[in-house]
Amino acid sequence: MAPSAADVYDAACMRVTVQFYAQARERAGRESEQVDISSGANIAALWKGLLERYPGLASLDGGISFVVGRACADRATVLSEGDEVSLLPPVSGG
Amino acid sequence: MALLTDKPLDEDLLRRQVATAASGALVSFAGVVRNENEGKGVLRIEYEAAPDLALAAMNRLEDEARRQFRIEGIIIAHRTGVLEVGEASVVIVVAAGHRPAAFEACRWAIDRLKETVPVWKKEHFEGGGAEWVAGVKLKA
Repeated sequence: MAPSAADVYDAACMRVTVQFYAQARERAGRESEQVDISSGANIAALWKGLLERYPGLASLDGGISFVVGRACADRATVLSEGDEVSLLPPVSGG
Repeated sequence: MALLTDKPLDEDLLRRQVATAASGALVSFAGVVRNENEGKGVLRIEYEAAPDLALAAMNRLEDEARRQFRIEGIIIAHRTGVLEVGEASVVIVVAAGHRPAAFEACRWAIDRLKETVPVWKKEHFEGGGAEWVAGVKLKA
């Protein structure tokens, strides 16, 4: 039996959770979001999609840092199913 | 063990937690909400953290400080939520046998905290309006 369209979609896609903080949270208008993205996509691809959906994030482009789970990441970091990606604008604690 | 809390920071309690019988020097730093920034009157500051990441980063700072300096103990506490002028947003207490290491470690810890801990502040101004402080790109 040929795989259903849903099976093909599941194989080609994975789901990650994005956590937005501070300016990123305000500009996206949400604290978190589940995103379906191509299997094997990297952070650059995720970020590109987010910028298209939330153009207000564009001004954060240079200063944003990415963390996957607890580990520092960069745009080349390849994502896996179930990853939690935190978007961290420039920090100003203390 | 670092502390991230939305309750007021009790500097005296933190000092008592860090001090030991071997502590000849106890240095503490408190960062406090000030009533102005760059010429604008500030009414209050709202602090937001990425809680798990911030706490982990503060615990790492404590570990690094213990390795780098001859100190007996250190505690780093950061507040979140809305703070009024005069309230402490951060308290760092260092206990050491002698004062040079205590001063150095405390200064090092607050400087590093500002670059490595994912916390953000939004200033609310006199006459209305609020802005996120520009900040610095997070360092690993």
